[in-house]
Amino acid sequence: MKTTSKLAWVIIAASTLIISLLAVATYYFIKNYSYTDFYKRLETRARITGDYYFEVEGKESETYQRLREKYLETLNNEAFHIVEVNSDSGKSIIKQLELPSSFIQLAVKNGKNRYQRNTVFFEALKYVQHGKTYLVILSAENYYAENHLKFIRYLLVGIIIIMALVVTLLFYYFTKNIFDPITKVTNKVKAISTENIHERLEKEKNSPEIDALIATFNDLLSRLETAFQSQNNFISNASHEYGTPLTAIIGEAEITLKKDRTQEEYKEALTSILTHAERINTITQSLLLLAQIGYNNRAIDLTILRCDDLVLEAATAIEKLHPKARINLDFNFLPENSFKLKVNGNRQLLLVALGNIINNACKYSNYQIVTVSVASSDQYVNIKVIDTGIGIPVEDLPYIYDPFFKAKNAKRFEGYGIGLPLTRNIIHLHKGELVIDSQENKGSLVHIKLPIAKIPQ
Amino acid sequence: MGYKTVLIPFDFNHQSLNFIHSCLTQIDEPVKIRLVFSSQTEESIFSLLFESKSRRIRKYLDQEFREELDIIKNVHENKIQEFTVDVFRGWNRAALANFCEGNKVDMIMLPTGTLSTSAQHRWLIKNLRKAALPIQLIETIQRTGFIQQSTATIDGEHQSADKVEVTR
Repeated sequence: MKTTSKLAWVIIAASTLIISLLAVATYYFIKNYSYTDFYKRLETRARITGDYYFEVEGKESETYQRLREKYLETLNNEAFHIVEVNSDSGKSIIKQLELPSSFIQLAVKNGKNRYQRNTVFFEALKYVQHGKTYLVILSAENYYAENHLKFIRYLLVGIIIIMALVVTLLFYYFTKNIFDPITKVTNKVKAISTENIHERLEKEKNSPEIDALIATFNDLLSRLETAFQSQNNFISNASHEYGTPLTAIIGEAEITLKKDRTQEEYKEALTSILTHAERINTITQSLLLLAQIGYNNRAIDLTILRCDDLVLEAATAIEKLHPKARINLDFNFLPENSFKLKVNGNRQLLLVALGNIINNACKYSNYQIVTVSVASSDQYVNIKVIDTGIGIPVEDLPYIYDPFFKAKNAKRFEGYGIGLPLTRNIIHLHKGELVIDSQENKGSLVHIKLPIAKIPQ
Repeated sequence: MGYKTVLIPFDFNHQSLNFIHSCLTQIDEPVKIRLVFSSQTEESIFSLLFESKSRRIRKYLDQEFREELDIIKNVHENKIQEFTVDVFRGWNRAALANFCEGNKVDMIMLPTGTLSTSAQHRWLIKNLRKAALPIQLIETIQRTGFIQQSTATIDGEHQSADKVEVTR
C-alpha cells in the first residue's frame, strides 16, 4: 500500500472515530438529561395534585382541572391516581396499572419513587392523612423526548457521514497539493543521470517547503557536477603533468639511442632525463603529502606557535627563494595580549601552507607588493594575504582546490596546481578556515583563520 | 577610579572600523568606549517586550563585523576598560542629549566627514556636533591590510556583482 493511501485510511478512520465518539457522548448526555427532566415534571405535577387533595379545604375537582389546564401543559397519555395503600380499592388500582410491588414498597419507604415501563413513566409521592398512607401516582408518555432523541440520532449519524466525506475530500485536496509535487520532484530527479547532470529542477509555485527541497536537490546536483568535473579535471591535468616530463624523457632517450654519442653527450642527455624524473618525483611526493594530510587524518605533532613568527619565517623563506618578491608585513593590528597570537599547530605544515599562499600571491602578481597582515579576534588568529595580481576568473573559482587545476589565466605561470589544495587541507587539519576573495585582473585576498590556542595566561 | 566615557558613532561599514581604530589610536589613557549607531527601524511589540537590548543589538551586528570589532578591541586592549555597542533610537536633539546624559558620556569623537551615506547616520553625526560635550574630530586614514574592504574596493570601485567568495 502506498504511503498516501495508508495516510488517507489512518486520517479518515481517526477523524471518523473521534466524531463518532463525540456524537455518542452528546447523545448519551442529552438522553439522560431529557429523562431526568421529565421525571421532575412528573414529580411537580404529582406534588400539586397531592397538595390539592390532601392539604386544601373544600376540594373541587373542577377547580383543580381548570387550574391544571390553565397552567400546565398536557402530557401525552397523562393520568393521575390517588391510592390508599393497603386498602382493597388501592390494591385493585395498582393491579390495574400493572405496577410492580417493589415500586410501591420503595415509594412508601422513601416517600417517592420512579418507574418506567416501555414509553410510560411513573412518579409516585407518599402522603399520610388521618393515620392512612396514600400514594399519588402520576403517569405519562415522554413523547417529546422520544421524538427529539430520534431526531438527534438521525442528525448525529448524518454529521458523522458528512464529516467523513469532508475529511476524505480535504485529504484528496491536500494529497494533490502536497504529495503530487513530491512525486513530480522524485520523477525529475530519477530522470537525471551523469549524461544530463547539468539539468536542474524548476521551482514550484506557492510551495516554500517544496522549493526548499528543490533548492537542496539543485545544490546537491551542482556539487555532484563539480565533483564529476573535478574528477575529469584531475585525470586530464594529472595526465598532462606526468605526461610532459615522461614525453621529454622518452624523447631524450630515443634521440640519444639513435646513434653512438660521446661521453659528454650521454652525460648531458642523462642530466636532462634526471631533471624530468625529479620533476615527476616532486609531483608524486606532493600528491602523497596531499593524500596523507587530506584523507588519513592522522595525528600530527602539535605545539604552541606564534602566528606573527610563522608569517615572518614564511615571508623570509619566500624572499630568499625569489629575491624579486616584495612582501609588506603589516603588524599594525597585532593584539596587545600576545596569547591571542598563539595557535596549536604543526610548524612545518603551517610554514608550507603560508609559504604556498605568499608564494602564489608574489608569483601571480608578477612580484608586485604583497601585503601580509596578522590580527586576532577573540576566537581566531586572522592572517590576510593581499595581492594585486591576475586574480581568479569567476568560472574557475569552484575548481581552485582541485589537485593539478590551474585557472585559465594562470597557465603561463610555473607550478603543478597542488599548492592550494595542500594548503586547504593543512588549514582544515588545524581546524581553521581558508577563504579566498578574488577578482580577475584586480587581485586576490586570501584569509586564513586559525583557532587561538586555549592556554592558561 | 572613574574612567572617562567616550562616545564614538559608527555605521556598519569598513570606513567605520577604520574610524574606530583611528579614535582608539588617539586615546592615551584607559577609557570606557561606547559605540553608537542610529536606528529608527520599527520593531515588533513582541521584540520590544521579550528581547533584551543586547540581543537586539546582536541582530544588527553580523559575525564578520563583530570579529573586526574584536580585532580592533584586542589591538587597544590596555586602553579599554569597557567596550559596549549601543543603539540610539531617538529623533531629536533632546533625546540625544538625554541619551548622552544617561550614558554619562564625557567626550565625543567624531569623524571630519561622515562614515556612510545613510540618512540616520548623517543625522546622528550632525546632531552630535551640536551636543554640549567636548568633541574631538578625527581624520580617518584609509588602510590596506586588516581594516579595509576586500579587493573589490582596493581601487575605490565597488563591483560586488563580480565578487565571489569561496570557502571550502
